Amino acid sequence: MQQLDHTFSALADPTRRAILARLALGEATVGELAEPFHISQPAISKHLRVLETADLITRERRAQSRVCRLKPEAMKAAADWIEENRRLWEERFDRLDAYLRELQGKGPTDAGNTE
Amino acid sequence: MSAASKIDDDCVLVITRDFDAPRALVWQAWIDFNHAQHWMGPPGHPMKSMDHDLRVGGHWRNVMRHEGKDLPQSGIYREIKAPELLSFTFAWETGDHMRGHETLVTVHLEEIAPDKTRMTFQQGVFPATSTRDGHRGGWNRALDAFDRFLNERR
Repeated sequence: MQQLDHTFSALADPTRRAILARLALGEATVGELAEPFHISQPAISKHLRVLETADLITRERRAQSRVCRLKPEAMKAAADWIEENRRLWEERFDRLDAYLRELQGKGPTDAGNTE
Repeated sequence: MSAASKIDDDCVLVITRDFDAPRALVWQAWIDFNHAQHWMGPPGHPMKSMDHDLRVGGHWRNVMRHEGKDLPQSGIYREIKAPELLSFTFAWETGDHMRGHETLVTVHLEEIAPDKTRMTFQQGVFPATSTRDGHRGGWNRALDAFDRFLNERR
């Protein structure tokens, strides 16, 4: 669960989400990643460190540059958590709707009986 | 009842529901154990207890039973404006005084007709302390890109 906290913290920043969206298109060097953001390479490197710690990307040295690549597992865990959570609340609200009807003696919703 | 759900670009889960019930009743259903036990837990997994210190800064804790085990969830009330606004932090307790991923839940209740209430439920999925500076590189964009990434590898 702590891993999930790391993942969500890393994903909370819009620049880091944009970096991930870029890396989903394919691997990129640090220089290529810095280009569209109008921020310095050290600033980008800081974001990349956070993403690496959260296990969302890998960085590897190749020739003169460092190449970054997306690691999908942590991102999938975060997406799964959101989906599971959404389902939990949707189911609760279905029951709340039924319960409110029952309380008021309205009976269950009938799909063919819309007002 | 009409219903809608989405994850918006501010990284918030949003669920909207219209209930055929007066707003005061929907409000009670959220804060009163006698009501909440009927809908919070899934069928066959009743709420065992619900402790609510209903004031800003007050602690709340619900315990559900599932296969003989206690499943507690808890948090702190952040905003209370009866009968229209309820905001609280929310996390499952995972044992050993550990808490699962902490989120901020906000429930808005709006009277759209005498016996009709629109509920807007929002849950911030990112840490409550994180900044929300605009829509650049939104959550949906990252998820879409991620979906494409996975699809290409199938």
